[in-house]
Amino acid sequence: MARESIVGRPAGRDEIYCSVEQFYARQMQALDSGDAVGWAATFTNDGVFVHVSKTEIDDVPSSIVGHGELLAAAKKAIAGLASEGVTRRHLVSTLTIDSVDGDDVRTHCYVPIIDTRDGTTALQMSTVLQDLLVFSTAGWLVRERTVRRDDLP
Amino acid sequence: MTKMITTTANQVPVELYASLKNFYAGHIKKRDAGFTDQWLADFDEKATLSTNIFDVPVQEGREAIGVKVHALDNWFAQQGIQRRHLLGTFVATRSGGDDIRTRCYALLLTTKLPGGTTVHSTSVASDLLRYRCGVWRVLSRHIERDDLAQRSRNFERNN
Repeated sequence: MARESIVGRPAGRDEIYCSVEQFYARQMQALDSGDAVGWAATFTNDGVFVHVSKTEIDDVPSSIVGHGELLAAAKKAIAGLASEGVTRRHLVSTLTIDSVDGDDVRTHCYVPIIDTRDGTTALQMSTVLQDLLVFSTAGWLVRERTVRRDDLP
Repeated sequence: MTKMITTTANQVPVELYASLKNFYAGHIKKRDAGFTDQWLADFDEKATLSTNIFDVPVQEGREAIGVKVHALDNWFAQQGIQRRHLLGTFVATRSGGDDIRTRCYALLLTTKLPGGTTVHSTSVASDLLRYRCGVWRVLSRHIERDDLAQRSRNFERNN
């Protein structure tokens, strides 16, 4: 698929907010639709994904570092859900832009995860996401992500 | 080549994005409040609605949409069920000219008393919109409810 042309970094706080919110929507929709490559491409090459709440159920390392590991983790997660017949939706909400420093932006949002399994839909978990985003020639990218599950220590 | 998920030239500007989100919040509140005809008025007269919710998958024209939606809304009202559609993970892009394409998730919460509130379903909604005479109009809408899609796939796999 052709790469779309990139516009400049949003200038004002409101513009940043709107573009970041849409970035998250596209990123989550990519993951939920099974596009591991597209999702991994939303991180910098040295991007870091940290699970603060370690869970044996998820069977993932606490830190995932770099594009290769991120892609592998996404593929594994997508394959796991598919094998269980689960349709997953990440509902991004309550987003705040906590700080802006040049091309770096720190964000915070709630992401409840809703799963549909065997034709029944239920809230699977409530998570809180904190990111360091950077604006590059490819647009917004995640440099550091921290995810905390409310139901785990 | 991978499609970049980023800030792109077809991403809508802030004023337009805010206008769209405001439209959808008002649009869905009409439905949840039981103002079905006001909700229908947000559709173009020749709008189409395709969905796996109804027995007939495509409704052509606002009148045909209204017949199905009224029947559904009446059923929920008769059951004493309050619905809340929470829209999120919202993407808006330009679609040539002044038309806008949107794609978002809808989380449906239902409340029936006595009892409580439960997660009913999630759906993915995709619209084509046009701004006319100071208001947004839905030209076409596609809704896929995840639980029904899953049951349909399971049925096909098992038969």
